[in-house]
Amino acid sequence: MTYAVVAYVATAVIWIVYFLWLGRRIRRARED
Amino acid sequence: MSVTIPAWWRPAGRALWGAALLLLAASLWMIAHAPIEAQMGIVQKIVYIHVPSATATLLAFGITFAASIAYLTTKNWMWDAVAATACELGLVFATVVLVTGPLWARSAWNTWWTWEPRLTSFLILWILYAGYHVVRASLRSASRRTVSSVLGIVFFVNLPIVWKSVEWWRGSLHPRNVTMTGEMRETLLLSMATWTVFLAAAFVTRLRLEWAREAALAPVAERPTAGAPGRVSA
Repeated sequence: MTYAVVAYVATAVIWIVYFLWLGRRIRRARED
Repeated sequence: MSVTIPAWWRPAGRALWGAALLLLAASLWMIAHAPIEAQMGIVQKIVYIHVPSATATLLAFGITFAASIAYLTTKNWMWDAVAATACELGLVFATVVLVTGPLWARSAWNTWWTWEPRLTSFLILWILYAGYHVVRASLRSASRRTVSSVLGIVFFVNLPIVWKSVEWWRGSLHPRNVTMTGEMRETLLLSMATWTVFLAAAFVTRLRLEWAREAALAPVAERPTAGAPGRVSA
């Protein structure tokens, strides 16, 4: 049970962190 | 090719994200209600995220391969942008595979990691494509696109090795095929469709970064004007 929850939460965290980083890079590129 | 984002790009992106989020909600509902596997119990549900992420990884790196060939053939910057975009998303999917796999393996094999063919070749795949981005980021010259494209083609050699590793080497612990029936099979197929649409939506969003970077490099006369339909904006 715990491992399954960790797997789904970890996947969500990976994608959220990625899109936050992507958003920051897009904003920075627009400012250049 | 123009550095202006086409007017239809943003609505297309919104439509894809709408479809991806709807599918994600339906997929999570299906996963929650799918039968619990008799031997492994609820941990088996990791498969519904692990397998679709693995297929999305292979699809993304396949796009990188095809777009890299297209760039070397045409020298159109857009193909390089497509290759880099797909490669970055493939790497995120591969990271998901490498995180969820050991969580499943701990229950199935009583170990987090073993140096068996599928796991080892997939880790090599991750390292190679991470290297693609390291090399790409380190080059600022005109050769950056050509070098990236060559890497995108050369590294693709590892994909069939990952795919066939469970057949080519004896003693592979990794399951050869995921054989499911009924509700479990439907849940897996829906998850695969969901993450494929998610890849497409993320691709549309990530490509805007390449457009924005290209617009910043373009001569002032060629830059999209503020307020124009295709301007690079959030």
